[in-house]
Amino acid sequence: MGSRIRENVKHLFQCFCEVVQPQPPDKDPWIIQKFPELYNDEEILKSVPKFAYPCEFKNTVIQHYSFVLTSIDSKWTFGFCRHDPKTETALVLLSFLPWHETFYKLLDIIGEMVISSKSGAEQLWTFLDAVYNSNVPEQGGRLQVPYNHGLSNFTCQAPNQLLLPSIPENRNLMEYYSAVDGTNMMIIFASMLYERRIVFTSTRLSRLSACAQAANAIIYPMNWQHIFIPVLPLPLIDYLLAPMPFLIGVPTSTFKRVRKADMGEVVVLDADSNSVETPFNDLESLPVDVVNTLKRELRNQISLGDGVSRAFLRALVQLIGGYRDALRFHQGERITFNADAFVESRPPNMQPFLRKMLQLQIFQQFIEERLDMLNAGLGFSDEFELEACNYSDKTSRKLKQQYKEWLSTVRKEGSAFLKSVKNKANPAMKSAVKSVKDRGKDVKSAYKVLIRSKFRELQPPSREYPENVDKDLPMPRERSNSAPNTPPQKRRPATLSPFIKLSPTASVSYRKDPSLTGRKSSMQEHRSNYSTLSPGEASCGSVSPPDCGSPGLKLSPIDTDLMGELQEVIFQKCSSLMGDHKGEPVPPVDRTLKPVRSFENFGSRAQGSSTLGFYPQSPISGATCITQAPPARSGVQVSSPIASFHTPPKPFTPELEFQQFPLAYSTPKAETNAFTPSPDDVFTSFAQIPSGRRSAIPISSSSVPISTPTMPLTAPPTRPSRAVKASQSPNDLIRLDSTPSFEDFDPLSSNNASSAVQYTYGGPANINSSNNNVPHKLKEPSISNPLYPYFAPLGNTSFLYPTEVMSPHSRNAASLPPQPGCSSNINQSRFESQDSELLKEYGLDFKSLSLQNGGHSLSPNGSVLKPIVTDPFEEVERLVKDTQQQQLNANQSMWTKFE
Amino acid sequence: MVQEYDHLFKLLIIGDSGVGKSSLLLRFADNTFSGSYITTIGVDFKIRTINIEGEKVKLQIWDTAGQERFRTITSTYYRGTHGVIVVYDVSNGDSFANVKRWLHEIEQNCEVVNRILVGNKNDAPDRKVVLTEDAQRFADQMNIQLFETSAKDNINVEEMFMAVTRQVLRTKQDNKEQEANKRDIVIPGRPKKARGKKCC
Repeated sequence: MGSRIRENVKHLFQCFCEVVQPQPPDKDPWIIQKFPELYNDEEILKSVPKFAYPCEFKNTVIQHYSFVLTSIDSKWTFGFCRHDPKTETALVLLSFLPWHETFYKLLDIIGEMVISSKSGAEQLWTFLDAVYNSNVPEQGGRLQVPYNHGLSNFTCQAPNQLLLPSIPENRNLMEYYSAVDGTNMMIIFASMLYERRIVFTSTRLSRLSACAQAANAIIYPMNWQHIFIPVLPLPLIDYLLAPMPFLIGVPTSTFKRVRKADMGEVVVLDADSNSVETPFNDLESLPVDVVNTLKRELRNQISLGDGVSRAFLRALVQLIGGYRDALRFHQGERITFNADAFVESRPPNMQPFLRKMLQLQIFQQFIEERLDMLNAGLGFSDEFELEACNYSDKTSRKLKQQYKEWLSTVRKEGSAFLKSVKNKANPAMKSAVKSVKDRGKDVKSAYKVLIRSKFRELQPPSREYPENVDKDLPMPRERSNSAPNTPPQKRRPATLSPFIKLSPTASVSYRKDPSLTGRKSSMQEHRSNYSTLSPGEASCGSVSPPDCGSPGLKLSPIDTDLMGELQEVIFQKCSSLMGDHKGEPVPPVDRTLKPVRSFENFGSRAQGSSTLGFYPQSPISGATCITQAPPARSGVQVSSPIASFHTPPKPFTPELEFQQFPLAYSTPKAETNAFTPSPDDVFTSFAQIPSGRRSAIPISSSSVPISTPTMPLTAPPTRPSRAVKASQSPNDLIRLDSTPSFEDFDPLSSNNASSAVQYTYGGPANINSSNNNVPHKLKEPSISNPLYPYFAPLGNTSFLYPTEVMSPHSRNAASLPPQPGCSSNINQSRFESQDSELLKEYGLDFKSLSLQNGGHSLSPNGSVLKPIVTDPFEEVERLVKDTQQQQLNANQSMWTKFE
Repeated sequence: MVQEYDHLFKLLIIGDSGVGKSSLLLRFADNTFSGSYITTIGVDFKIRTINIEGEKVKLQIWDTAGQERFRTITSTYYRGTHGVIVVYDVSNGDSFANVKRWLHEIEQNCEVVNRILVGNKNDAPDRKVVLTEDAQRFADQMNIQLFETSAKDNINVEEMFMAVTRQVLRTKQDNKEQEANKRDIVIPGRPKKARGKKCC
């Protein structure tokens, strides 16, 4: 495991020491008292005085800092120090927990007791005893210990590990951020990624330790694996000669004594003068787009909140988030990591760096850690994965809670939904992320074109919204297929082409998926059903046309591949669903997608509820399921409209594409093109609505009931977690959507942006014709990714983000549309007023959206589907022509592998 | 300060904890330096100055904690070193397996690293599970020297350290010659080689 923090810590602190300062000329510091008195780790006790007085320093104000001890198993013990100029002793707390704020607070209380009176000694010991014997609070939990005869309380809250360090709460990061500017932070960041020998210097111990701690925190989810000594005592000065990578904080006075010539090549950060000396060009040798994005984000960063942490996290997501694409699943064997695939799955300009990345201990340990978690069946849902899937979601817990609430509204299907949502949402997110990453380049180009050409044009007032709604209705149906995009292509081929390419590639990737192949055997049984269903559905549903069109080229192969890959369970569910859907317009492709999804999520889902479960994965899908189920088919849930949404098995491939911004955009554009009036409306709606809202709006309109429900789910979790982010995300969204300069935009890098973009894409796509597709796409990834069953938040988050973002704005916008329509569309009893209220709480205006969609969907569904179908076909043809482009999308294939 | 040595070599000693790295270092090092910090800051080193072929060589041998947690030890870890002493416990098959994996890794990713393979605790034949023949076969395959030592009984320790030092010294001299030749030929674009003594 990569972490060097101990687990299963039994005591809040290991030992408290009071250390007497050195008495010059020749008396070393020594421990005058300690608690518990039985603590007898001689090696540590011998070292503590050295670290408590690591050098001569002026002490004019109360000063806190921390040092780190490393045990033989490479785990860290943190020493928290408090120097009070009014005393001649230093107070030290040793703990396995890196809870700086907590222990500084605790030290202050102890300091008061020490100073107050000697008679307070007993009180101090009683207090320490109480704290020592208290249970360590669980993550996010609280501990309260009274003191001062019960007049005061020491309270500490266990840090939520899912939260990134934020300013000003995190003192280390705050200190680092205030002492070192963004550029130098980036240089240090890059130096750490190259595992250099790094020295921080400062005259202030607090700054020294804070900067070292913060620098390590910033490479999360990786962990510094080498020598780590945030404060180096003078007697240990020779350790600066170590030839291995290290990160050492050296008091300036100590560093002056070092013979630089013996040290070799070292990166030196002077935190007092905010200057870096480095013999390397590490920052320059990072991929340019990653650096540019990071620069921009740091520059634009509001210093408050976790923006700084997140900027670096996004850079890392850009760099190494693609590791997921290199995971290899073999039935009955451990999940493995394919290094070559990892490198090759990323853009060529990034590959040289990624090759080096493989040679990093921090990366190796990161991969080991992820594999261990996966193979242990734990899945993972940390901030990195969340960010990778979606930048907005911080806390999976919150998401889960929201999900639960949402599920409760769902009632009967609640449990199944939850499971499915959790399982699928994550995968979807992943897939989306992947797609975004892989296709980021393509998307960028397409994006730019689209944005420039149409976005501005599309920004009509919200008045057009009604039209959009109509269009939206058709769009959702189309969602299942990438085809929806094709129609727009007709109108605006240039923009469409990129999208088209994506969709084809997606299908290709599907075939290639290793995971799918592995599951083929189980899936085969159901294949027959699937294939039969798909044809019929294809003809019926709007989705089918796109599929068929593309199938000519690739559809048939895709279906077959999917079938083989799909597990039996999935198929069963799918078949059942499909049977329901047959009458409906839902295309066969959707079904395939569904099976895939079901496949991934199936473990937890029952067949009957499976359909619901599938959808649930993505918030949108889940919502759709709910809405659908209530109306007529609880078990199948695949009411024609709903089914199309959920089922869009093909959406999986589309999902990928969508996720990759370009697709989503293309779809919207395409849609707009196809439905000239409606698309424009949609766009206008987008333009009117804030970026975040835009996405939400499209979604709501397009997906109608389904989309809206999902939106709330996602939105609540993310927003609650980060109010700041929510505000930020909208901005990002706006940028992406409205800003013509998308060149810099890297889907992977800017998770937030990407998520926003994705949303926007999804929104437009959904609205226009591809509502179904978008959800499907999202869902598909989730399905395809068995690894991320626990990741629910991620997939959701991506959707959620848009929704969330939109929710505030969208609420207003959504409210504009007639609510009655919503109710009618939903017509599901489940969308009761209560539910809607819940959604509203999350910022979703389902009713309004649903109304629009529903009204249109009911009558226009068929019509909508048809247009979509035709367009998809054309698009497919174009895609076929653009085989080259498809080939370029090799990355997409990587995606599918996950499935 | 006056240079009291002709060469300063930094060596790494790697191997699972428990194979006797610390004992080997203690056996070899000058006794002038006391105190160990391996358990408090996770890193330790020992120094000894020796004469080889008329050259005064100062050796720093570095050890870090918890290496066994690494399935692979990547090249960045060796980047600043002149040589690596790879230690396993002849009575512990797992420690040998780790060593094999790490050496393969070095082979793949480090261009020039002087390596030496050491089977420590070679003092209890009845507990020996890594046979000399197996270890030798592997060493031959990797083209490195094998020493079976006992820090406890002080068997072969001195020879082992002298051998690795000699190896590093020879590499350094070879590099000097090569660089001299290169200057004549002028081969641009090899900044890494410029580091000379260092691997990777």
